[in-house]
Amino acid sequence: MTAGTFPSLQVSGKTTIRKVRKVPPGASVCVRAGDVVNATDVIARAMVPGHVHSVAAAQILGVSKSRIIDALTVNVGDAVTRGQVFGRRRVMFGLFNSAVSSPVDGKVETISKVSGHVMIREAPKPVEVQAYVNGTVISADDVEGVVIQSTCALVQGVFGVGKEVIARLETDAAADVNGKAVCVFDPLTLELLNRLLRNGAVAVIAPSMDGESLLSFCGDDVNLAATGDEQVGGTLVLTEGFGCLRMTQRTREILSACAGAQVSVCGVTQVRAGVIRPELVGPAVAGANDSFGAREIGTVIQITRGEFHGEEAVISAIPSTPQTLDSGVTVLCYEVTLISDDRKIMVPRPNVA
Amino acid sequence: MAEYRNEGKVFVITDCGSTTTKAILVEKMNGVYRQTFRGEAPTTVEAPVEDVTVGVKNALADLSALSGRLLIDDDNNIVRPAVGKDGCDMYISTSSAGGGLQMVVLGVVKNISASSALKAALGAGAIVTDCIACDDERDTLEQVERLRKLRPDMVLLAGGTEGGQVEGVVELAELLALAEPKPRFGNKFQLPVVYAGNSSVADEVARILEKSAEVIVEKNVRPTVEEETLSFARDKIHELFLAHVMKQAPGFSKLIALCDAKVMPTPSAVGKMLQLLGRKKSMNVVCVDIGGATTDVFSVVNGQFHRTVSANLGMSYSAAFVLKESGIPYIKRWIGTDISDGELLNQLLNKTIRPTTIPQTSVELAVEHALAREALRLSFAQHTAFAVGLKGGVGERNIDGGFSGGRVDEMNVGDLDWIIGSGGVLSHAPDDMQTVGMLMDSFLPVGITIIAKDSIFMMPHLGVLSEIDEDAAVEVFFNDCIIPLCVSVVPVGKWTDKKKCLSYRVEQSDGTVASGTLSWGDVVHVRNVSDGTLEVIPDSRVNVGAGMGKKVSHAFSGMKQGIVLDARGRPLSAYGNFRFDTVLKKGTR
Repeated sequence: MTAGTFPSLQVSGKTTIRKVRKVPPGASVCVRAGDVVNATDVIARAMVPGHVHSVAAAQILGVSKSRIIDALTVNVGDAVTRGQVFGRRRVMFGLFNSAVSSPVDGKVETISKVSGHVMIREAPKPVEVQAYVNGTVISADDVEGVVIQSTCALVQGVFGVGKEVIARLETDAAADVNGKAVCVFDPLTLELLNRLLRNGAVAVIAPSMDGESLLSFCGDDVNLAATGDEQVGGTLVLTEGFGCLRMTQRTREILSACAGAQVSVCGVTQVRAGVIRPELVGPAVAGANDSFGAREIGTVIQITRGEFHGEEAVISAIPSTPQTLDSGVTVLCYEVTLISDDRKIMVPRPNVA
Repeated sequence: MAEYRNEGKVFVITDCGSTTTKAILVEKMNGVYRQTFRGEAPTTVEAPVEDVTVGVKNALADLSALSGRLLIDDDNNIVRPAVGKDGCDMYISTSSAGGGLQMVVLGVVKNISASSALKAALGAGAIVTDCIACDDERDTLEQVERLRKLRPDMVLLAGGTEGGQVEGVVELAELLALAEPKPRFGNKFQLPVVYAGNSSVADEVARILEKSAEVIVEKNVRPTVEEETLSFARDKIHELFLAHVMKQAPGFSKLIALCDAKVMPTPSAVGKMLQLLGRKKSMNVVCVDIGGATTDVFSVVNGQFHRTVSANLGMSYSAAFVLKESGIPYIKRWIGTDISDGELLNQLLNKTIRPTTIPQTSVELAVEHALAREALRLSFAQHTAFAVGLKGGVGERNIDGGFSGGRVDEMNVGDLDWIIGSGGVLSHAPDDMQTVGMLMDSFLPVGITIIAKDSIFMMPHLGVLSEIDEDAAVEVFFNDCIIPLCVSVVPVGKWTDKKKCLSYRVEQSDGTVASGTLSWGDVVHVRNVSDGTLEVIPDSRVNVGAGMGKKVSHAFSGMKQGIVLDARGRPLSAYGNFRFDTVLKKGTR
């Protein structure tokens, strides 16, 4: 008997994934369908338009907005350098002067006779897009981007911060971690996290961390529902959540099997529509099966809320009628047997992973 | 056997939400329109299906199975018209699927044109992803980067009274032209920009934006500082939503073709329904829908409709934001049991990252209800701050009795006749009195107010139905949509601890009478009185809505939880123990 599948995190020793690598507008893709790529290969290059700066030139010079052009020494399209004076006004035969200068290196984009503003755009910046995973290019397009298929080990975390990194996986926090992704199997402390990053680790993967430490690490302004842009000095992936939660046996085994190998780690998390979870992608684990599927009697699950949060258990029955919990909430449940002490308890179906 | 005849029209109505498409059947039973059955299916805008009508037809198939009424034929068409026990006469729908209508609003002055443009966009049912003004704190660089990053469905640009500001409007148009924001759907179609500012600059705005957007000129939302005309911009937004935006979203052209009336954005339909209630029943009503990510507050007070969306106040995705806005002490004050700050923080952060989990223990439920109180309190504060008269104008002042005494265009909780709560935490609380407690603690009603819940958030369906048949929508609203929970009676006035502040008498429809007194600090729950007349006689220095010491009578019906008299004082934290549940237990009769 099965009970359908709730959205869950994928933790698999061997699975096939397709990564869509989006490219910036105007990008030039440098791979073709069928190419075999390594995670660190550049698959697209683009020039991203530079930032725009507005200079209230008419106001600074004290001239009428409609006559701003007369006071300027540059035209639309002209290059300017940081600090370059591009407009002057002399009053009282030069007794009083005013000048306007460029805040950046760039080009004059527009001059407005209505607002009196001059817009200066910085030079475009080159951007390269890496493959991120080892695999085969399925499709490649300058607009749609590149799709790469990879057969790999995949551990999706529940929360992360920081961008994509590609590095060797180290499972001993006491070893040389410089330039490596480090896996810590026990709940992470702020002290250990800071030490690992100070020692050069580029990513840290751990089961859990308490909320206060996380906020100290990321700052109070972190948006937990959509991460990825934080400047925190490294990438962090939590596989289970906040508090003192242990890593599941399955996750531990997969990460142990990836030790020493090149892995791709990304902390980007989005818990709203179009869910994105942080992840570690590594080489497929020999002998592993892609066992992600429906929950049925005998399936090992992890409890994600309540008194037994973080514990692993086996589904022992799937009652078809809603059960009333201690909270008074009535909901469909699984009856599960805790692996730690064989106790049978009821767990709401959405509270398992 | 006699042939089955439908008494009136049979309506099938869907609301295509982000995750679920909910279908209801509305038909006439014994002379009144009722919502008789409800079905649902997952929404299908995302890959691999990418066609919203697949989810609609699945929901209709579910409705068919539950009602026994054939609604989808063998060719997968909706069976129309209704003949006997099969088919329907009209199929209509609302939609917020695929993220609803996402807009960016630009105005010259934050508190004047930008504020009016924001109201117009929110009133049209949009999710406003940013509101940019010439006088906001950000510099041009930040504003351009923000505009470039956002991919709205539409932009509303306003600024300048008629014959007024020109430079600011041009500056904003130039900003937009530089950013070249791309529409969310469809790379080939130009971003619609509704210009509703100073009409003398319309041509210049169109010229500046000619390469980067499709400019549609509409009447100025703020023709003078004292005047606001939102309806034209609002209607234009609706029109463009149907003509451009929805046609780009997966399967929405098919949905438009399938419907017998215009598809409405979900929040806009809720607004229509509330405005109808305000007009037909002369009700001052506030309705709150608390979701995982956002909390929508709608109100119609003295005929004025307002809607606000508190984008970062919600029960799961936004739990961490509520915590940040309120702070741990404010959330903890509602929780009866001991919980450490660290434990509370972990629980709320875990709820943020695992939004679908359900509170398993009573402590977890208490934490969720505490979080809800704070999210509702903050959302309502944002709403009342927004739902004021025009800044810069001269407001008319109210000089009658009751609680107001302020400007007639300001929202005053004493004016509210109904508070309606919706959203999982309110609609599915294990005990109705928990819902009453959450709404009373966060909205802090005073005087006499009906506390109700919308059991399945049917307001969007009824809003779109009201476009076809207003009476049918109102009938279903009162018969099936809302569940009146209680009459709340809240006195204000001179607090004297434990001293009597009022006496009350309830005469039920069957003639039985219940009476008693209320002392400051108590909350009294008069159960088992669903229909009747309530008479409240306040003491000389106490007001329950008619003025100090003046008696109030109120007829009521259908109250599931009877009457709740709350003498904890206002503001709540000013006097003694203010926690609803603990005080309620003491005073329960």
